[in-house]
This record gives sequence, C-alpha cells and structure tokens, in this order.
Amino acid sequence: MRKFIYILLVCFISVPVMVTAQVKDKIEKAYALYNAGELNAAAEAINEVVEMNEGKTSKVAWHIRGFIYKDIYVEHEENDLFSPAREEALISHKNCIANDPEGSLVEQSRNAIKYLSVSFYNDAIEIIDARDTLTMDDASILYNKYKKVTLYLYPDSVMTEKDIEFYLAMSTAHRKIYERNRELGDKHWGISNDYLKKVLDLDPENWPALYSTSVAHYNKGAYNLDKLPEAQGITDIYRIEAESMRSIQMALPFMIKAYQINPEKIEAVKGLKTIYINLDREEESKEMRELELKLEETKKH
Amino acid sequence: MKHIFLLIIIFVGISVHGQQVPEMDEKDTAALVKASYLYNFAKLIDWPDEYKTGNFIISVMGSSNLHQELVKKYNSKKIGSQQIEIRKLSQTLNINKCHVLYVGKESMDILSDIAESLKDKPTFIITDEAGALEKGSALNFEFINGQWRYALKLKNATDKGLFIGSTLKSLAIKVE
Repeated sequence: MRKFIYILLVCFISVPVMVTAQVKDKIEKAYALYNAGELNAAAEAINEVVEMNEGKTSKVAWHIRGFIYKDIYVEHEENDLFSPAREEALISHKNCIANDPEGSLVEQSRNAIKYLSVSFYNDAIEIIDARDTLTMDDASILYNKYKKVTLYLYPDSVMTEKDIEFYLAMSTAHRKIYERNRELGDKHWGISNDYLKKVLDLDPENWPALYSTSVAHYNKGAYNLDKLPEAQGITDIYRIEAESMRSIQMALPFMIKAYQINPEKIEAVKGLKTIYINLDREEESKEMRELELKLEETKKH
Repeated sequence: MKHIFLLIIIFVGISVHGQQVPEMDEKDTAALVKASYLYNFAKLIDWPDEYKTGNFIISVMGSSNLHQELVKKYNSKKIGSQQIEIRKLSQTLNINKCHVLYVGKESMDILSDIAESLKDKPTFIITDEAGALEKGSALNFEFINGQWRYALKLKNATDKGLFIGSTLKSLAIKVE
C-alpha cells in the first residue's frame, strides 16, 4: 500500500497549483517517515500539514493521513474496540474525498473506508461471539458505526436486511447469556426478546423471530415451573403456575404465525404440538402430532 | 487479500450467529404442576393412625410423566415423619396399601371398580377427568382459564376415615 501511495504522491504533489512548497515539503517528510515505518512521527508531521490553512484543503495530505492512521490502528490499536486511530483514518479519508472534486483519489479513499467499515462490523461480531455481558452494548455501537459508514459510501443502501441479521445475532447472544445462568441472567432474556421485537417491527413475517419469540416465552414458562417443588403451599402453586401459564399462553400466537408462514417447517409443528398439550388443548395437539409424523415421513422419502 | 478475508468473515459471522433459533424445552408442564399439587395435598389431609407409620405411598396409574416427576422431585421428601415412596401401577384392581392414588385418563373406564375395591381403605383418589367425582374420586383436576384447579367430593374421602383440612377445602373451586 505504501508503494501505491508513493505513486500517487509523485503524481499529485508535483502539481504546483495544489500546494505550496512548504506544504509539499511537510507532506514529503510525513510520507518518508511513514515509509520508514515511523508511524507516530509520520502522524505528527502530517498533522502539522492539515492544521495549516493550505493543508486543510489538501486532498493528498488527508489521503496520506488516512493511511498513516489506518496503519497505526492495524499495528497498535486493533484490539481497541474504540481505536482513536481508526476514527482519525476515517475522518481523513472522508476529508480527502470532500476535497477531491476531480475524484482522482476518491476510489482509493473509498476502498480504505470500506476496509474500516468492515472492521467495525467484524468487531461487533466478535463481541457477539464472546458473549461477555460487560461489552455486549459495544456491539450495537460498533454496528451503528458500520451502518453509518456504509450509508456514507452508498447513500441509497437499504439496511433492513443487515439490521435484521444483526438483531437476530444480538438476540441469540443475549439468550445464550440468559441460558448460562437463568437466575442471574434474567435481564438478558428481556433484551433478547427486545431484539426479536425489533426484527418483527421491520419484518412482521420473519420466521426465525416469530419462532424464537414463541420458544422464549414457552421455555420461560416451563422453566418457572421447576420452582414448584419449593412452593409453600397451594396458594404459592397458584402464583407460580399463573406466571408460567401466562408465559406459555403468550408463546401461542407467535408459533401459530410461524406455522402459517411455513406449514412445512417441522419445528413450528412440534412447537404447536407442545404448546397445545400444555394448554390442555389435546385435540389440536394430536392434529399437530399427526402432521409432525407426516412431515417426518415425507422427509424420509 | 486482507479485504477479501474480512469480507469472508462478515458473511460467515452473519450466517453463524443470525440463524441460531432456540430449542424448545419440551416439558409436560401439567405433570410438573400436578406433582406439586399431589405433594401439597398430602400435607393437608389427615390419615387414620394405622396409616401414620411406614412410608407415605403415592401410587400413579397411567401418566408416566407425572410418575417420573414425582420420583425426580419428591421421592426424597417427607410427609410429617413418613418418607415418601412413589409407585407406578399398571391398570389393575389389585392395589396394595397407598395413601394417595392418582388415576390417569387412560384408566377412567375402571375408576368405579378401583373406587369400589378401595372403599374400606383410607386411600385418597385423585383424577383429572370430568365426571370422575361421581365414580369415586375424592379430588378431580380441572383446567380452568389456563390453570389447573381442583374440585372436591368430601364424602369420597371422609367415608374412608380421611380428614380434609380447611385449607384444602377453601382453595377448591368446588366442594361437594
């Protein structure tokens, strides 16, 4: 990449109308430091340029600055989710594009911005993967940065599909945290469902969100019933049962809709069978059991 | 190369994390609730002296899930000083001593005969089928507004020398 910038540098820095000799010297100095791998010194030198009046509008200065900070990010701050160098690189490339009406450096700067946007997304995914309760919120911040940069690059983009994928991933991560320790992780059950709700707001017929919402409510109700052996008498059973059955009742409409959207999907058929039997609706449960057997039979052939 | 690598990661990340739907915890919640009721009913009934020694026996005819739930959660508990013992019965009229007998829907056709065979024994019969109280059951489960409740027929218990506590009576949806 450094070699490539050098070519650009030769091409553009030599145009006398674009920069004064002083600015040109400073850019060359910054570039030499950058090429020598002295990134901090290079950053200092290029910052002097962009702080000067003529330098502020120099697309070349901003372009080089973008690459210097990108390398600082890659070499020293890649593990920092909120790397200041990454932000500086982004700002620099955006300023380069803003000061390049002819568009000679636009493509390279856009590619650099794409690289940075992907890094935001990947960091968000890594957080989701780690399922660390302390950093989960950072995933949303980073995803929103990715989204903002993507919309900068492609203003006409429709992000709905990406949003849905991200929300489903967040929901899964929070659910897994909840399942790790259901007593302590109760708030994550709620957060997981909030993300599913966001998906359904964007796409009311989203099958994974409908099915997951139903299972979340059903499992919560079924899990609560495990507390029954500790019940202090019949009124306590009434209370625990009431809470649990409310949750199981809530699971039903989501599973019905999931089934209606795709009646061939065995998970929804099994889900309805289980929910119906637990609501003492034996006939409907039996129908679903028959359907389940049919689907299993079809699958075999 | 790094760009390509990062783009690959993006797609892998989405497909792996976005599509993980949860698995359903397929519990028989009715069995969980009824098991808890059975244990608590037993604490609210007084048996004749000859039934106050030895193990406290709860027998289940039908409903494997209820039997399993009782074994899993209540087998090590006590009623007063009596250790609980859970027994599974096949459809039979030859029923040994037990304090509580749960008769599942599968055995409703022989309920009257079961009740007749136990008429002189202080066994508290529990069922969950409409009309079971008329066939000799003392307590029948009913599913009302999404919850399990129970109706009592006192005669089917008191005639056998059982004393039903006031709490059990007051929380019933119906007492005959």
